[in-house]
Amino acid sequence: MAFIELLAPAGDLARAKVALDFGADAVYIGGKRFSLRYRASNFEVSDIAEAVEYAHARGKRIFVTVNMIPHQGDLPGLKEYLLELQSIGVDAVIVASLGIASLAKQVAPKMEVHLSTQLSITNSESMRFYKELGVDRIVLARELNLDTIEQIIDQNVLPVEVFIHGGMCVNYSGRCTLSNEMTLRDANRGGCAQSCRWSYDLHIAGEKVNPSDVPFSMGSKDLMALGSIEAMMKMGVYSLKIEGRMKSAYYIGVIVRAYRQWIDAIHAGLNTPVLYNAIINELKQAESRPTFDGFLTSMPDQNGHLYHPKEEGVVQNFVGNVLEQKDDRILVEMRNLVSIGQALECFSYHQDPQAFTITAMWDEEGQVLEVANKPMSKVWIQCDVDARAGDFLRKKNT
Amino acid sequence: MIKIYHTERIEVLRNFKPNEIELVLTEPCFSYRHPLLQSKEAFINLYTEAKHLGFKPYVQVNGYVEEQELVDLKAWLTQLIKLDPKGFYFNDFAVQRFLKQLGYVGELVYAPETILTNAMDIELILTQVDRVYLSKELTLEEMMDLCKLFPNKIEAFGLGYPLMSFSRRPLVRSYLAEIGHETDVLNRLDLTIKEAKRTQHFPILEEKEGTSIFIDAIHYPKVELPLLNEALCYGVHLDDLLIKEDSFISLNQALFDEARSLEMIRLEHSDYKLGQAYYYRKTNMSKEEGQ
Ligand code: SF4
Repeated sequence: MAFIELLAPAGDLARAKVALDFGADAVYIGGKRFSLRYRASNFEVSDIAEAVEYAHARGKRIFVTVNMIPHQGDLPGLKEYLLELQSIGVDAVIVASLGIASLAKQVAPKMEVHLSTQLSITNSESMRFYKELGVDRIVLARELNLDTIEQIIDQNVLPVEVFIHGGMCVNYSGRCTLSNEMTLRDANRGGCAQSCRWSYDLHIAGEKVNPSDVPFSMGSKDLMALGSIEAMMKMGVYSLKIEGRMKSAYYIGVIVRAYRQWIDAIHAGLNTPVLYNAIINELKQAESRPTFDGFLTSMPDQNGHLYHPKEEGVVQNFVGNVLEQKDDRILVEMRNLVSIGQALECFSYHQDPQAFTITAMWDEEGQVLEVANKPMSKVWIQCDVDARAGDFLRKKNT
Repeated sequence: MIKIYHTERIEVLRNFKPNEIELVLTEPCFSYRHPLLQSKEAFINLYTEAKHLGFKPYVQVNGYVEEQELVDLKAWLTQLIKLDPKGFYFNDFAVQRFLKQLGYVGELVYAPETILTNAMDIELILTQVDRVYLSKELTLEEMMDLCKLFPNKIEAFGLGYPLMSFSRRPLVRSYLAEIGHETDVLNRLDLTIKEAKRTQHFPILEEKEGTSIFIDAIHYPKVELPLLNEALCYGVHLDDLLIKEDSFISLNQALFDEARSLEMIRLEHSDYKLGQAYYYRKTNMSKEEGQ
């Protein structure tokens, strides 16, 4: 089977490094301009440059989203921005506007242009149109099933990228203005308020039909396509994309490592059902929302939606980030409560998860702790496994 | 400025003179928002009747065509070309490419929802088509500026329920299955959703192709149409979807009747909410600024 790219999101430089360390072949990030996540972006151009350097040193790639669908007033500075991205070695821009695609090709031809899923591309004939504009890659619409994706690839027009994990728009991407109407926040300019996930009453012929405890909602379960990865690899999908530029470093680490492991196992012919189940369990360690496989194997029905608000849980098993290791202790930035006797796992990219039990803890002043319960506090934990700065600690599943 | 009407009802058409308006008929095989027309035959009948009334219709193909449908799409376009339409409105560039391959020389108008918002995109697309249909999520000022930049090349929404979203999923049927409610909702025109903290009832239309949701107020640019006209907007679209026939006809007449004020029209049509879409609402708000 040919190479397949694992493409991960990152909301800041630290997360970009996590994604690359945990096995992504490429990372996509949004800068502070022209991106759908520009308001939440932590990427100054200097950070993007550092991410590029870090990635290229490892033979990996950085893509920058320039995926806003701009109004006229949003455009000033675009050309300069594209030139700047090219000058720092960005490998590709992901765009949703044909004008931006064309401009990028003219002024910054060293960068590839990838056409975003915002354009809802569903067939090879329209891909030919985009290819003539100079586009290098197509991110397919999420509404396609595996058969359709395979038929598109068979036409051999352009490399295709397919979403495999993360949140899903319930509407055709780029064509949803629920948020514009309800909150004056433009989904196509990074403002989506996720109005599809809100609760509604459904009226038929003027009569409300929903019970009050199960309001009408359009909210989609998240995508989880582990079961379709082998098929996608066989049919020649070029890139497997994980969604979630707003997600935590821990989430990125878990999800990227899980898919990396499965892709490598498929390449090596070691993709057993036992490993599959273990990876599913691993994915659940980070996933707070119920998942399904989108449109890949069937048209979503009621099982693809979140109708019961309580279905959305908070994952409590993440304990904290390892900041430093000294002798047999590690300094941890805490996120969730732990006590002496808690079974933990050190989760990292350089080894399989290592289990240990907390036998002693101290605060930064050296005071002994029975319980560490202050989020963001720094705590020394006795640790007899190989834990290093950058690793994650989590409660061990029992 | 040309008046471009969308309808599925021949009775509505009888109220218009062919030399005064243009007509767009949405075909039902690769499109959505055609709850009354469910077959090729029904479409061809409507098309033929419209021709008998003296119209030369445009055909709209507004869907997202999937790979396995391409062969059928091309065959259907071949058949449609034989009807000699004045032009085609399309969303998917596969439609435009096929029409060119088939030697079609009539007018082509690119009409996606929501994604046509700036001069750079419009300029590029106008190298491929005759005209474009602007997104509705623009302010009046933005629309006028774009119309002035591309005189008589831009069309805009004029009257009707503005579409907010389109999902491939059967959103209503899925939900009803979840709550065990057995009602056939396909193509029904009397469904609405109401958000818990809001008063608006947003029309929701479920078709076999997917689910459309609309703004609750009919777009009604009574005061603004002359401004778009001055800005050299080519034409405005008037769509009767979800509006009763007599109401549509009288709302339409009142829209172009200089003697009738918006206040009067609102009083006469109090069963409908009339609005101005995004003409005066900027939507680039942050979380803090937004509603
Ligand atoms: S409201 Fe929902 S479907 Fe619409 S853009 Fe936002 S997340 Fe996507």
